[in-house]
Amino acid sequence: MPRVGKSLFRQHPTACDAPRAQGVNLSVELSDAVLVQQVLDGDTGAYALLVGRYRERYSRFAVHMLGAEEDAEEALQDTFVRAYRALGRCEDPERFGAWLYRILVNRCRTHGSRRGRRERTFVHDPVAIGNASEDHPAERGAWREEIEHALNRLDGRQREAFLLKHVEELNYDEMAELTGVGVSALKMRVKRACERLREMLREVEHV
Amino acid sequence: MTDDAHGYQDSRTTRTRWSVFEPMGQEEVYDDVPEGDGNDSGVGGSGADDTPLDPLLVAVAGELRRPVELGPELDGRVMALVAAEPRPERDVSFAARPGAAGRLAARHGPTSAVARAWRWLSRPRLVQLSPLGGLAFASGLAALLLVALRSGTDTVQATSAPAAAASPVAAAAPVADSVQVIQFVLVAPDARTVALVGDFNDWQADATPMRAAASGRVWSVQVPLSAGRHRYAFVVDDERWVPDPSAPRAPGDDFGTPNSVVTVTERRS
Repeated sequence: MPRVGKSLFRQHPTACDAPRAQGVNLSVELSDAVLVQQVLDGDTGAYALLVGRYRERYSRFAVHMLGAEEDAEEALQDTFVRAYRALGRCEDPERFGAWLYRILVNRCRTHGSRRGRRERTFVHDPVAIGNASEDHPAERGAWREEIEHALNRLDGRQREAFLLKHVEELNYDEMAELTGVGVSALKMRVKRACERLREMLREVEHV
Repeated sequence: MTDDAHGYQDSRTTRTRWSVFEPMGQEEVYDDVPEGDGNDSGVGGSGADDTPLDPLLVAVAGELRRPVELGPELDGRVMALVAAEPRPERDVSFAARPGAAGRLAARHGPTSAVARAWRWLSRPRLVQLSPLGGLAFASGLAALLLVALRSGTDTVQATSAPAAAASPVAAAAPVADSVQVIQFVLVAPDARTVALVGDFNDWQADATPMRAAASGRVWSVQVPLSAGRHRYAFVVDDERWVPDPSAPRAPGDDFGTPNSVVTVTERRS
């Protein structure tokens, strides 16, 4: 039996807007710009498409930045709601994704600085980690836990730079555009992050 | 992840001036001072960090690139919050307009007093008028037009202005809009199909199919409804009749099936 959640209806202020949703061919992927336009025209449902389009992509960054899934969910939720409120100020709707990412990075910074990173309970077993093989699920879990533990210990700015560069695979120009930080400083942060991660994870390897 | 997956275009050819956009206005601003020794010269421009990662960090990055799935209810929560928000307003910002504001900025600089004054004057403002206030405003406008027309030339009088001046009451009278567009949204994570049925479509399950968001969790449709009370329900997977959990229940359910009620009011403008 399908689960049915909360429903909402909403009365739009425009009376002449035809029910655009009917007859839409869902096999055609609408561009971000079209969806943004539809939202600005009052079709809130189009925003659900944008949320669905970017939620998974940006969940990873938020989780790795904030360390706890509940914090990441809060930051993502906050990001989507703030983006909706400010949608009229999105200068280039075709690049909605980049604009949204910028908001997410800001929200992660704010959430991170407001709460500090939550203390997480790590089962820190250096011997098990050192012997871990990525082939075994349990050992893979321990390996991942150790990586997250090391990531957690990085300075927030270094963590952000490392994730954007090596996990999200942005180039430095894109990172600079996204973070508002200069390329030189970003390179320094990535370099330091790599050194710290290498140092922490090699300690584990050699236990 | 590719650049395209981020919604990025090649930033080397298409630049967005992030510095112009201030999404939240009061975001925390992080200083960009070089960390550590306070001096990153000699590292930044050298491309030192573009060197390939060693195998350990390659493995780390690979592990961190695995997809992360947050709670499945996130979409629904976001849409519930969004639905409670007012419709976002288009912002015709100073920077985006190439007209007089841009020329002023070019002439005086974007932060000059003249440019700031023009920005303040030209900023869009929401002005709400009651019907009585609107009538008074229209009457005043009509009086001004009459004065202008009497002192103006014949060519001015040939325009449509006299028509407006001749019937200021009609121009300002509130107009009742009896049809409103209503958006129905249902969060149904596991549904294959969802349709809207009601007295406005003769309860036909194939008349108003709802559209799923990409995630398949949020279903929505917009329907123009005339003023008055309407009964409705959702039909999930062509078989399950579901009332709207966030709307009032219709009294005396038809045929024993639960329905909801939406009341559409006339909008006056």
